[in-house]
Amino acid sequence: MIEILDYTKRFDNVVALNQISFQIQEGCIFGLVGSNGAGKSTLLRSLCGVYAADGGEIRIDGETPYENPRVKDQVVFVPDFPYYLPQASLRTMADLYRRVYSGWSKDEFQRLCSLFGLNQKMKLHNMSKGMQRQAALICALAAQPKYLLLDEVFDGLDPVMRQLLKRIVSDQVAERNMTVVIASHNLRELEDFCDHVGLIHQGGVVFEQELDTLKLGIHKAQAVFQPPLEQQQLQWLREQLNIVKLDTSGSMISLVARKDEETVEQVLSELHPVFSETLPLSLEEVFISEMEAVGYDLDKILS
Amino acid sequence: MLDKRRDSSKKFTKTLDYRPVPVYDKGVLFRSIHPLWRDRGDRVFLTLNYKSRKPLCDQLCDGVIRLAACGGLEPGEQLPSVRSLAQELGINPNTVQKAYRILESQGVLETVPGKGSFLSSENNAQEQLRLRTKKTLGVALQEALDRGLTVEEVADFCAEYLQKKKEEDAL
Repeated sequence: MIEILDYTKRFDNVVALNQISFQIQEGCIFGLVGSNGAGKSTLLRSLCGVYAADGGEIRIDGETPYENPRVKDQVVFVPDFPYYLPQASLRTMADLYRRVYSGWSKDEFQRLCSLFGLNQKMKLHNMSKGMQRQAALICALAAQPKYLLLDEVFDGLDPVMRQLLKRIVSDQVAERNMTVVIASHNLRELEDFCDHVGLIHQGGVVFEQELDTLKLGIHKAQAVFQPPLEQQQLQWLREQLNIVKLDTSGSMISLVARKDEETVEQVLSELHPVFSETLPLSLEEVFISEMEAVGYDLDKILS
Repeated sequence: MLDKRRDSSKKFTKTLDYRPVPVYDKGVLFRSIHPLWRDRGDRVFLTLNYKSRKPLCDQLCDGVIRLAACGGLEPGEQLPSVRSLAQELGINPNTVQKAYRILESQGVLETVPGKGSFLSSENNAQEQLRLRTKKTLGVALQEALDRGLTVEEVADFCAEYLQKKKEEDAL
């Protein structure tokens, strides 16, 4: 299990992560989302022991990863820009990984090389960026870690490779109870693949929840009222439903509320709308709504 | 392939309650199929619609229930393991696990520890499918009413439609 306890990370004057706390259970596929510069990569690097804490702590299976080979043996981090030893080939990197990670499987490495169709002897710097990314993934997966940290890796793969990667990861999660933390901007993809999701913004956690619970607990609704609702009715609505956003346009209102579908429908019906419709939100819509609520929205950016 | 199946369903209309599940090019193979098609080696697939907003877990449950109800899965037949289903579809194993658990609680599946999950011998899938179908009907009726059709208009439409179906089937 990954425990993040009041963790703070600073770079000179910039506070990249500010006292964040949450847990990631074993066997979980955790989606880490956030605006650019929110602190996702910093968090992943903290988890794999690249960064030391400036406050609080991180515990993986009860121990701090920083300067701890025992923990690091079970954690593999795949960055968005893969780094390789100069003049290295896939075989060279495999040799390095084999010496570092006790879980390394030569058979798995060979299988993955042929699945991805990569030439083991070719120098990595001669490969395209996409192929370099695939090479990084092969090494990470062949090391068979307990914890796999992926920093925006899906984003650089073509659809066929993405599907292949998902299959391999699913297999390892099912077989070895591997825990995966995926930082990504592609919410549509994360939505299908992750069971937990955490949203980070400016170094803080906006929310962190099981995906199913999240989607059951937030809905958007549109309703038409004749005559249009008065201020005190709108206020009552705000109190009854944990409103994230409420817009009125004449006789129509549209809102986003942190409540389940039944409650939203029920509260709206008490005001006798001419028409009302309540729908779940996609992860993208949740992201945008929650970000608007903390002030990160298009209006602010464009103004 | 789809046309072949339609023809065979006309041939065996009396024995099948439901249209066969169409074959798509993505999905998972459930090896056993309705006994009347068994030796033709036809395959019935479980499909996932990524575009629909419906959670994958619910889609899996629906898929298994539909397959069971149309004979694509037989009572007592073993389903793929969580691991192999997750791996073949490239989805989170926790999602598959959840779907199997839900189906078990509904009596559609029976899990034998150490062996796997099997379609239950009582045909609970049929009942589940009926429940879900009624729910879908309810949603459609409500939408019709919301959009301004009167109760009489909806009732008349249903009566006409069903009457037409009756006449077609009698032919």
